Amino acid sequence: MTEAAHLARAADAIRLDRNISELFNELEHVLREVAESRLLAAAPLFVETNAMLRRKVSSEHVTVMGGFIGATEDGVTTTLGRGGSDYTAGIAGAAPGADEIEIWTDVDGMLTCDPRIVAGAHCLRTISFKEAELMAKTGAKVLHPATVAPAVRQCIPIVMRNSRNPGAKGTRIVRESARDGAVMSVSCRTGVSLLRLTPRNTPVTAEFGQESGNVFEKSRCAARPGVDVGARDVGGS
Amino acid sequence: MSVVVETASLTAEFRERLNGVAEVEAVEDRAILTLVGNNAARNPSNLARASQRLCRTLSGAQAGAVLYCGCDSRFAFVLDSQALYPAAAALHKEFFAQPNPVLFVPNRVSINVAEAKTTACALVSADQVS
Repeated sequence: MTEAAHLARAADAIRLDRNISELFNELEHVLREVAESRLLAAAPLFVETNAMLRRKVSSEHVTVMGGFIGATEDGVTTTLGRGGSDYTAGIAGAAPGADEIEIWTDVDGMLTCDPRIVAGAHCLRTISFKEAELMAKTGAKVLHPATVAPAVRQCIPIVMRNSRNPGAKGTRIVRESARDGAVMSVSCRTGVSLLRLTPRNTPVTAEFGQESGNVFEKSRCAARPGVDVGARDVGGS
Repeated sequence: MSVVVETASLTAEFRERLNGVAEVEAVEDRAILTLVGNNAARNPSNLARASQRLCRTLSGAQAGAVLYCGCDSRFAFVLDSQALYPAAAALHKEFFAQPNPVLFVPNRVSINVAEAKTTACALVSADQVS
């Protein structure tokens, strides 16, 4: 989809939201964000957002709000980018210090592998914040990595539940890991390339690592999940 | 030294900059399989089991895989994207063939398979009795 098409869709969503804003809390004023680089991936201003959420959300009444959309300090509507709805839940739950954050989605919870790739993947009962974040960063699409961050800061458990199977207990994401040293999931990611770098006329040194690292940084090809240095070949049969 | 990048980021400008500091061999159309678990990468048994299982599973042009240890709680294999499905299935089988019920809820597909086997056994038993 082109950027123009994205903007058109976002504009539609915004109009829709404004139409229903009388029924719901004024969403665009609840989440105050600033578009640091792109309209579709704004970064929250946590101090202001949290202060506003604490004023608006209390245990005395039920607050209903949408996710994904927010506003700049100037009141210009913007969005949080991919996974923004879950991210909103994380922010809105963490700000007033909720006992628990529930994310209702269309799968039973976090699975041991992408069920489209491996049939018979199992649902994890409990995993740690760190494991959930690593899974999300390395290909598990059920949870956006940013969602976990606000809950981690305040140690608020996140529970992932299935709206199509509400009887399932889902996956509980907590501070401590259920099992130390065990593999809990296999994540998959495609669309990557392997670069083998050989320094010109010099051995591999820390300076070379620094120099090539600078190239990655300048090109905004910063270290992403799975972008690691230091490898060994695993021979096949 | 080797690194993994998203193929979309391999622009001509980026390659040119990188060529200024090193000879670059780019192998495209790769996939990453990452195994995650608290301190999973510190457990040598995990690394050995995963490597050996991949060695048994992959063959021919798919044989080359590169092992990365990103941090204590994850390690990854970079391999031919064509090998992703069989490799993922093999690693999943290696680590989750008999899921600990304390940690995992078996997938409903697996439960159905198990139930079907139980039913089949019951039918066989009934036939044998009759």
